[in-house]
Amino acid sequence: MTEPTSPPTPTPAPVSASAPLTPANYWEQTRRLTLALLGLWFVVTFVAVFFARQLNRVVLFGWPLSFYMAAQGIMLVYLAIVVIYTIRMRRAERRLHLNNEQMHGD
Amino acid sequence: METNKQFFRRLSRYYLWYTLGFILFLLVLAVLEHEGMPRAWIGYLFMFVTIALYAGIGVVCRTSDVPEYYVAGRRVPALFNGMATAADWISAATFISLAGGLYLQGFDGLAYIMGWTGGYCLVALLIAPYLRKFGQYTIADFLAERYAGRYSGNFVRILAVIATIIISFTYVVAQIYGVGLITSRFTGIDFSIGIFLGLASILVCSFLGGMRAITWTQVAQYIIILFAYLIPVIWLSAKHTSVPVPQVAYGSVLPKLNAAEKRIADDPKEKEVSAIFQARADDYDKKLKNLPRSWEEGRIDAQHHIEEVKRNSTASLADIKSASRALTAYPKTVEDAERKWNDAKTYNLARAQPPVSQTEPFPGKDEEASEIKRNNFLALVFCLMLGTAALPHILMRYYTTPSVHEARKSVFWTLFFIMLIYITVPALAILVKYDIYTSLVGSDYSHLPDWVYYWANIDKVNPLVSINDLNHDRIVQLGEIALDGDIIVLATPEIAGLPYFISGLVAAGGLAAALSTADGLLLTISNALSHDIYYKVIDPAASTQKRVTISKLLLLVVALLAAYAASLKPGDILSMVGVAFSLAASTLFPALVLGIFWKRANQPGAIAGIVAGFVMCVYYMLHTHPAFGGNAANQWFHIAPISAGIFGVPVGVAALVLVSLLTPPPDERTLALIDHIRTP
Repeated sequence: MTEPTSPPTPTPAPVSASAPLTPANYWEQTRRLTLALLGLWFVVTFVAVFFARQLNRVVLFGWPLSFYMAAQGIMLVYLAIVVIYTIRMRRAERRLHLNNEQMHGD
Repeated sequence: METNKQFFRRLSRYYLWYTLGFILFLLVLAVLEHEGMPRAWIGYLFMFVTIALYAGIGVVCRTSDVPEYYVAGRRVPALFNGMATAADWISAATFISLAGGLYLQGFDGLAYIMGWTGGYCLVALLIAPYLRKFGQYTIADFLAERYAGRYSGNFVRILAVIATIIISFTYVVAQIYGVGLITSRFTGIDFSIGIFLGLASILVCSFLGGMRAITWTQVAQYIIILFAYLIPVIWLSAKHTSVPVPQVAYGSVLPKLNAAEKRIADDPKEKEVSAIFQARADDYDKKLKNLPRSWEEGRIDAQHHIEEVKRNSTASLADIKSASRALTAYPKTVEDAERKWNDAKTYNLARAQPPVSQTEPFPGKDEEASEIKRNNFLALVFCLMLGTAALPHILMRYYTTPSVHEARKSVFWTLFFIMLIYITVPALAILVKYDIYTSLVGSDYSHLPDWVYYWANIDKVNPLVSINDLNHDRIVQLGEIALDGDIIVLATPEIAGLPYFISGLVAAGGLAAALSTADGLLLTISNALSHDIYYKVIDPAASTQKRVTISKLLLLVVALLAAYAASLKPGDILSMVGVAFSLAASTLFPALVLGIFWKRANQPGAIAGIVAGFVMCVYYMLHTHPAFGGNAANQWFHIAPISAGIFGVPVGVAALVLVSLLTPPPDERTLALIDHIRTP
């Protein structure tokens, strides 16, 4: 996919955001990201609706808060979750490929 | 060989021209209407031009190549796959009924908005990228391969196929039913002819080109859906708020709507109307309590009435007719009377209730009633989300992208394009409600707006709108208006004061929504039968040519069966669409997700999980849904049958986990497969 511009050099433990990732590390990171985003999904969906009656007393720009969240707001959070996931996974994927290329280079 | 980027540019160019052409078509129709073309002709033109267009795309994209036919050659760019999936997703029910649901149910209707968007988080995080990496053709393919083991993988495959077919078939019948409704409402064509016209276009398209033709047709259909949904709402928004961005501007109408709701709730005339309904309900209640005597008396009364009318020499023919009609409509047996009067009592009681507030969550007469509503809301959201993430016709679309990354991106585009419509739905419901509460309520009964007359006469048996001056004050009260939810979308152009060709556009949009979903579903069913059953189980040596031919033949058979089922007008099929989500969630979701994220899940576990989830879900529905002979009194925690998945999913997961742990772990090959799909 992506060609590294400089010849691969042996790097220490993966600390920087662009360092290669081993398959095990990649999967570990994927799992953690998935779990975190699922947590966010759960909170905005179920916790927010559970307390909808209390939240509705707050009025923002004419919208009762929980009505706005259920009608439009939560949808935007969902979109944000998918965007974060896609971008972060793309980055992790590149680092994994970097690792694979190094392995083949050796 | 064209690169992905060049292909993307070429597609963008095509669809840009297509969109411009569509706008030109709208302008031409606007001019024609101005020049005095009759309404019926505008309706016909929209119908035939769009159907011919979809069929045309089918002819251009015809193919007999296996990867092209099943997965559009796996080169659909993320953006276009997102658009196609959005069209696949936006069904007749979403397009026509969702806004009406919000209008009628207030906050409770929002469960559908949340459920049908939030499900895509699960698709993105848990399923789509892994399915794409796996890279076969159907959902059953994945489950069979992942749960290979002691028994032949075909065991899991057949279970998955059965689930796929049950889920997709109820769904496709509802879509074809929607096609019939839209064509008959807008063009006056007979319901069954409408069904077969729509079917013809579906068939030309998917029969000739499979997934490839369907994908490119769905993109075209999405563009029509978007135009059709947004134009009337933008207009309505400009009318009431003078800001043509309804998604934001409806906020300024909300306080005014709340004020109108309060005014109506305190109006003594409204209370008068409500009392009339209450009295009718009490009357039915009294008759129900005195069964069977009341039934006997009522019948004798009706007979006496006829004789009296006949004896009376001044009675007109119409009087005699109406008296004998009353007798024929009278319940034939005591059981019949009990059912009819119960329905009438419930109906009148419902009409006697004060209108629900649009923004108040879970209104109820006490804390307990309110909590039941909240729990049902949460349960429904849960089932719709997990169901979304397990619907075969949606998941199949993520096989068509060129790479895993494109699959992830494509879920983003899907959600984005779905959101363009969904974020407008609450705005539409509230703007229409405001219009009705402020300009229809309180108006002169003898000068109702034209759209009320027009839509009241479309369907005489179940009128979409009816207004009766019950308390004879010549003024329209909210309580006197009976609305079918579908009218909200269908009549918006007229409520907003737009010319008729926009109504035609809305009809074309509804038709596109129904056809695009039906296309995807039919292909899913015929692929499950031809690929999973015929090729994988019956004749693994079949040539590619034969496989595609069989698939096309099956498509024809399934389409005709679905059209036949829809032409019987099964009223309950529409409520069964909701049930399909619970079924998908209970049967397929646990096996799919645990198959990817839990290596220990094995074949016996998957079989137990699918069967247990299915049995639990079906048992609860049969037990609690009146349409299947159940009784609402059997409900657990007061959860409605549509949310049966709230019990089905935990049972399915528990069965899968328990049985997996009690049986030997999966073999090396399966573990290697899991590692393979986890690595992009």
